[in-house]
Amino acid sequence: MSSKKSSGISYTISVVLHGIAILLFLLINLSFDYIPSEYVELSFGIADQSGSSGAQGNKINIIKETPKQSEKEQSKEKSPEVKEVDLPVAINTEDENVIKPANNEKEIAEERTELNKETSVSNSKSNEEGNNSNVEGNFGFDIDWGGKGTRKIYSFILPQYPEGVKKEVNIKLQFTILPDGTVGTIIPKMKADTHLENAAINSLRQWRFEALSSHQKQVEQTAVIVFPYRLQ
Amino acid sequence: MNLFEIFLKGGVIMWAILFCSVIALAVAIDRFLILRKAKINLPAFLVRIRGFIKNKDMSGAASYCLREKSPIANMVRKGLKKFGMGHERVKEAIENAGRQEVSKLEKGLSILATVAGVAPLLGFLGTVTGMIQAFMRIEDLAGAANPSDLAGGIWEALLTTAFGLIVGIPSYAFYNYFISSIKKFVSDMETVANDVVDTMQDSSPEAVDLDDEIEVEM
Repeated sequence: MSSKKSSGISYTISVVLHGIAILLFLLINLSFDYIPSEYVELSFGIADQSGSSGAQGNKINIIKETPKQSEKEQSKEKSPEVKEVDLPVAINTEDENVIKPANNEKEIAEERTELNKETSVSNSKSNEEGNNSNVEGNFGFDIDWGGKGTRKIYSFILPQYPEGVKKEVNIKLQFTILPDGTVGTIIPKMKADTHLENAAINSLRQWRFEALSSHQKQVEQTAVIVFPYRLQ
Repeated sequence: MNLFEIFLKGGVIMWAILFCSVIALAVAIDRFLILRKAKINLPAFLVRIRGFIKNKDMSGAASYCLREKSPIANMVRKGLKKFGMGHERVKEAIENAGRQEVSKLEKGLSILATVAGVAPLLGFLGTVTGMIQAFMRIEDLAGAANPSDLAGGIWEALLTTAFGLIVGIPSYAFYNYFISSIKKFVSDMETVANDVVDTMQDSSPEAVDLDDEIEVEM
């Protein structure tokens, strides 16, 4: 009798404990807030002339750890994902902050503008594309953050093509995004023309990213940006 | 998303594992209580019993055993009942009672062992079925699935394995713990049984002469 009684008691205790556990489960909230990854690559315009972000008209890729390999893949997969990206702030601010191609003609190749037009047509239902649909021939961009959290770009300035330089190179810069959204240290990743490098660095200094919200870990985010300089 | 919603994402298998968990915990608590109750102060018990037996106060010994309410005391009491029917009968009775008590102590441990084995397996089953679903979905999307579709299915599938292991690992630990404490208990029982039988033999009329000697030794 006593063993039956004790087993009854223990079953009751077990059920009660599980009930408490389930209640705790209900109370504990797991937030999947994205903590910005340590390593981010922004690709800008036509990288390596292989029709990546820029060719799509409006992409900036954020790639973790293996930026080089997945860059091309991502650019292929972009079109279905474009609709999911939400960049309201960028839309509003871009027109004001972008130096329009009319001002820096050398920067934008003709073929790119053509591509931009094409993609702006195909993407026209989605309003998250860059400013390419408004301004003809502009550097449109769009961000694919890989489905994770984002650092919105609040303002950016494209580098001017310096006078007297006739080179087509990609300037790859590694930089940190501070928690307040400003750009921290900038380190050139590839040796290239100094003038172009300086122009890129100077423009990148003026970029503003989304600040981290207070509940996120206040960390510096490391990013890599590629500026492809192309002669007209 | 709270943890319970995550739990629900695991599907039906999660409930099966939860059921296993309830049963395993119940058995563990039950065994814990039973084993704690079964523990007695062995040397003190032996001294008392020896005293009763030497004084041939069998009814006193039996009532003392009844008061102790431990499996060891129960076993000794069964033996005491057969006192006077010959040592063989006493020994037999004690052995029999011992086996019974051990089986009582071990009751439910097979459930614990089963849960320890089955819960992770159920988890794996859940993961495999979840994977099947995830891949079916990718096929349905004709390869146009984006990585988040894939990842969504997979992490939900993996939940069952995690939960299965969460249930299985403590069950296994508890099972081993109970098995080892029951082993220790059995060895205690053997010691007591031998001691009681010996004492009975010593205090029986044929062995009266030896009694003093043993007393001195002790």
